[in-house]
Amino acid sequence: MKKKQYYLLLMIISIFMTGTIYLSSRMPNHIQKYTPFQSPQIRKLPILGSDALGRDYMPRLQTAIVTSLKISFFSLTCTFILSLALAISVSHMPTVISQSILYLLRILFIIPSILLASSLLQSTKLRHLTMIITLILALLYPLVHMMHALLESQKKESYWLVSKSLGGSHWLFTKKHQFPYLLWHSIPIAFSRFPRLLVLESTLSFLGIGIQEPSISLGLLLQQSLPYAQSHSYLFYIPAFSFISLLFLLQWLGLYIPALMKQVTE
Amino acid sequence: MQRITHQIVRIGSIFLQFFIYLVVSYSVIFFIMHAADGSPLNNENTMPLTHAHDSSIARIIEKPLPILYINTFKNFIFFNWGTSFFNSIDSLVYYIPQALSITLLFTVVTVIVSVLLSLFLALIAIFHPKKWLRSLIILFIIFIGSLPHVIIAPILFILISRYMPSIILTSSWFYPPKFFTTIILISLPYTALFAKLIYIDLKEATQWFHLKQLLAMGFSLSQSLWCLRNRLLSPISRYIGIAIPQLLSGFILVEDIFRIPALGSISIEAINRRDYPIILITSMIFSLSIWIFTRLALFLQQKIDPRVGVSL
Repeated sequence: MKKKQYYLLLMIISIFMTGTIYLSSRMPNHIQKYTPFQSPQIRKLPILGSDALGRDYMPRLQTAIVTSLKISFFSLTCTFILSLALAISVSHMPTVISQSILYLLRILFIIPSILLASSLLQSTKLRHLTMIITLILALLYPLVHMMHALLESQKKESYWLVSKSLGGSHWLFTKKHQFPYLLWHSIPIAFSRFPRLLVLESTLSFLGIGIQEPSISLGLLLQQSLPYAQSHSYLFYIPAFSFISLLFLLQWLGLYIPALMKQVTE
Repeated sequence: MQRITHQIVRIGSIFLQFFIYLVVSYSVIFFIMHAADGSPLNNENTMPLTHAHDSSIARIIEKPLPILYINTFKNFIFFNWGTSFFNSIDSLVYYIPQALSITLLFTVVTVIVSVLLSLFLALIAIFHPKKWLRSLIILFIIFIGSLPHVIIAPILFILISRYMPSIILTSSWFYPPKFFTTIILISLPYTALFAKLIYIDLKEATQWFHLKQLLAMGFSLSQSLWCLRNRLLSPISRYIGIAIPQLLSGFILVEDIFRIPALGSISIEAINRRDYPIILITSMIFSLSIWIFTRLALFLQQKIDPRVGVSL
């Protein structure tokens, strides 16, 4: 793919994102004059139909997409920063301590997310925070593990050995070698995990442990539309189709980010 | 003699690792559950405690935390798991293993189906002479990888129940249409993942010296691939260790929709009802199974590809 096409693609995605955020400012829970279960239509509002309470389905869908994306992206960013800090600090520690930290992270990783989410919800009563912490813990160990492996492989590089023999400080190693190396190699891998976070967030919301009313997310929207899936199928299929398209787009982007980065360096 | 000593030390080290893992995971799970004001049972929506002093729940709440920690651990190790708060007749020692066996059966069948399907798809995507079919298969692999259970499970359930209403009415989890639909549903993401891995590996493998050699010797493509089966399965083997534990706890949503009395649905029901003994035991089983299956996967990987050099 040519450079121009990449820019065009990035522009389309940014327009899509900003447009969605702008349009979602309409009240998603506002009960309008529409009759309940009005089917989707092209000529007049509501374009995507209305739900059981006569609410327009369009702003609800937009808000749900934005909420899911926001939570997943925020969790991904937090996890990435945390993993960077942890992986770099662990690389300067003695082997026993670094292995113990990784072991503890692994234990946290294997705890079922549902148990973690429900316990955190019980103690914090904050659904968004619970969801973010659960997502962070679900992704933290794989990222730290991957970054740790990357840093270990970097230690075999000739420039690292030369710097070491010249007696550089820890800070110098971190600033000049580890940080740029990790950023370059781990951004595509971290981004490729983004769809998984989105799926986990939606699954937890679908099961009733994640986001709840009056907020709305894709999983919650799917859960709410499930009782009407046979009688008013558009209520289920519209968010389902949006979700699949979003995942497909994100997976595709995740595949092409390494190529994009390679082109930027060239 | 030296060999026997070596074996004893090896087995001893495995048991020690297992015990450390058991203690650490138990401690983390126990304290996470007690993060909610000291006990997960403090929610007023849990259940009415009419005879609080006589009930088993009250007895658990009233105990100090360190004693509760040690007692529960002791009971877990010696299989004195007690009963559920909502069902004092059926002991959990008989109840949980039944659910675990259902989960294990689903997991094993799903892994086999995923491996076979992914091999089939990846081989077509690489070796089929028609280009449009190869591209279509690659698109199909990406597409099924983008189908989360949260969407595909309700859709499949609605579609199948429309043409086969008995799937809703039956209470048996082994009812063939229900069983096979669930297996296909669960295996979809893993089929996509394995197919992608094999495809990437095979893309480079077309220049394999061994494959070329076998083809030059007059073997057909299928015979050559059969000879190189271990090499074909090599990229998957390292992911099976991750996939099996994910499968064990990962199809809770499917279990919930298809009403399968496996470990996941029991676990989520217990979490919603704050049923403390079940939550603890199911979580422990999940985490222990991850340890066991990761070890088994490493062993399997070593058997498939001896260059890995990992010992059990």
